[in-house]
Amino acid sequence: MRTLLALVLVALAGCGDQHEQEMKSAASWSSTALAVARYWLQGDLPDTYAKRVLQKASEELAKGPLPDASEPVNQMIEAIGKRDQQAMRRLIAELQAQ
Amino acid sequence: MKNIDLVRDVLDTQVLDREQRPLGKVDGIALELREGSPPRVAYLEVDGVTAWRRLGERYARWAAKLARHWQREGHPFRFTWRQVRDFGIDIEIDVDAERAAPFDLEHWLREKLIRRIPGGR
Amino acid sequence: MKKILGIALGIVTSIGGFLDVGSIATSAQAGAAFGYSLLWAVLLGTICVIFLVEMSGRFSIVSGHTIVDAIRKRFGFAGFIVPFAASLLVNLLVLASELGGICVALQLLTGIRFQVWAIPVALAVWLLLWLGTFDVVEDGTALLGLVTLCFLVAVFTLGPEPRELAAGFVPRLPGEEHAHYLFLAVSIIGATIAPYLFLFYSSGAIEDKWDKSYITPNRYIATLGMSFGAIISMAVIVVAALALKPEGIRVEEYEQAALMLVPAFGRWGFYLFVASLAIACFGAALELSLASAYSVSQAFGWNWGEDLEPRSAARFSSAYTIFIALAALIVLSGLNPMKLTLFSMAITAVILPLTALPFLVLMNDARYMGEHVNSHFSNIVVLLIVLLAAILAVVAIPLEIIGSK
Repeated sequence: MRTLLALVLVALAGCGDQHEQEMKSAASWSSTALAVARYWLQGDLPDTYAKRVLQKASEELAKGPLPDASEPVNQMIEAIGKRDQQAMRRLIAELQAQ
Repeated sequence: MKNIDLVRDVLDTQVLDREQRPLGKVDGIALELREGSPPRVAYLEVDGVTAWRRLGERYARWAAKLARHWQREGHPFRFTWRQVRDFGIDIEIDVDAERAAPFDLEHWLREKLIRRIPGGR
Repeated sequence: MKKILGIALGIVTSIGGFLDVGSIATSAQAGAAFGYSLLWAVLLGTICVIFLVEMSGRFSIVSGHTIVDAIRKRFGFAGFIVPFAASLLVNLLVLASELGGICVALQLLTGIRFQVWAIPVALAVWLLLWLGTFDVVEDGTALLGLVTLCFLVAVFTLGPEPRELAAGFVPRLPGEEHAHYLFLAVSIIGATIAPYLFLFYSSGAIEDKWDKSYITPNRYIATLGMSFGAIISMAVIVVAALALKPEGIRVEEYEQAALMLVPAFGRWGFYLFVASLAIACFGAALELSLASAYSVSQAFGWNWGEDLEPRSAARFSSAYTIFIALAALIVLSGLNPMKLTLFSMAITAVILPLTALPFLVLMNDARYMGEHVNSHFSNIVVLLIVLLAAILAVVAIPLEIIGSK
C-alpha cells in the first residue's frame, strides 16, 4: 500500500516537472541552433545538415514555451541558403538575446 | 549396467545423422507399456509439432496447421534405440539427414530460395 | 604465434563491435545531460559483460555446446520457450534500432528522410550475410569499426579534468531529474550487457572450432576486447560532456549528437560522427541478425553456420532473412529512432535475468563444464549486477514514461 502511494507521489511529482522539462528542451534546441550557426560560420558544417538541424530546431521551438525563438532560426535557414554570413552573425546575436 | 535419465539426457538432446549433421532435437519420447514388465522406450520423435504439444494441445494444432505447408510423409519422424550409433552430448543415429522427414522444411525453403534469389548457390 | 594473432584479432573484433546504436545514443544523452556522472554505469555493465563473455567462450569450449542448445536441453522445451521468445522479440527491436541508426546516419549526410533508407540498408545488411562468410563479416566490420576510435582521440584533444572524470565513476544521484538519470543508467547497462553479444560469442567459438587450448586466450579476448570497447563508450560520454553540455545542448535527437565531434576535429568532426554511427550500427546489425538466426536454429536443432551457403542451411538463412525484413518494417513505420533505441536498451535490461540466470545455472553444472565450473565470485558478480539492472529497469521505465508524457 505504501509503495503504491510512493509511486503515485513520484508520478505526480513527474507531472509537475512537465513545464520545467519543456523549458529545458526549448533551451536545448535554442542552444543547438546557436551552435549550428556558429559552426557553419566557421565552415565546419555542410549546408544540408545545418539547414536540416535548424529546421528541426525551429519545429521544436514553435511547439514549446518559446515559440518566438523559431523565427530567427527560420531566418538562419534562409541565411545558409543565401550564404549570407553577415545575416547569420546578426541572427546569432538576436537569438542569444531571447 | 548404466542408467540413463530419459528426461535429463535424452529429451531435447541434439540428434545428428551418420555424417554428424544436425537432424533435429529429441522432441518426444514414447514408452511402450507392457503387462507384467517395466515399460521400455518404444521410439524417439523428432518433430516440431510434438515439441509444441508439450506446451499444450492448442499450440500443437497451430504448429500442425503451419507445418502442413511443407511436411510430406514420414511425420512425425521416429527412430528406435537400435538406430542409435553414439550417445553422449548428442545422439548420433544411422540415418541420412537429407532424406529424413525433419528436413522437409529445409527442402521446401531451398526450393523457394534457389528459385527466387540469386547467390544462394 | 598464430594464437597471438588470433587473440589480437579477437580483441580487435570485440573493440570494433562494442559500439553500436545503443551505446552511442545512451552515452551521448548521458554526457550531454549529466556530464561525467554516468561513467559508473558503463563500468558496471562492462564488468558484467566481461564475465558473461568469458563464460560464454569457456562454455562452448568445454561443453562443445552452444548456449541456446544447452539451455533447451537443460530446461526442456517448455521451460525455455518463454525466455527464448522474449529475447527474440527484444533482438528484433534492437535490430530495428541498429538499422534505424544506419538510416539516420544517411539522413544526416544527405538530408533524405531516414525511412527512405530502410529498404536499401536492410538489403545491404542481408546481402553481406547471404554472400559472405563468418570471417569476412566479423573481421571486415571489426576493422572498419576502428573508426570509432575517433571518440578516444577527441577525448585527448578536448582534455578533460582527470579528477572530475574520476568522480563520474562513483554513482551519485544528480541534483534534479532523478527519473531520467536512473532511466539512462539502466539503458546504458542494457546497451552494454546486450545478451546477443555473449550468445553470438558462444556460436562464434563453435564456428571457429575453439578447443581447450583456447581457454586462456578466451579470457584475454573477453577481458581486453570488452574493456577497450567500453573505453570507447566512455569516450562518447566524455566528448558529449565536453562538447555539448557546456553549450546547453541536450541530445533529444541524433541531429544534436552529430555536433559532438566538431570542437575536436572541425570540419571532419561531422563526417567522423556519421561514419562512426553508420559503421558501428552496420556491424551490430550483422551480428544481431546472425545471433538471432543462430538462436532459432540451435533451439530447434537445425543445421546452421554462416560459412554454409544459404542453400545448405536454408532454414538458418531464412531465419535471418525474415528477421531483417521485420526489422526493416519497424524502421519504415517511422517510429522515432532515438526513442526506439532508448527503450530497447531499457527493455533489454529488464529481461536480462531471463537469459543470464539460466546461463549461470549451466555454468555451474558439472555435467557440461566438468572441472571448469564457475567460481563463487563469478556467480555473485553476474547475479548482483543482472538483478540490480533488472530491478532498476522495472522502476525507471514507468517513471520515464510518466515523466515524458
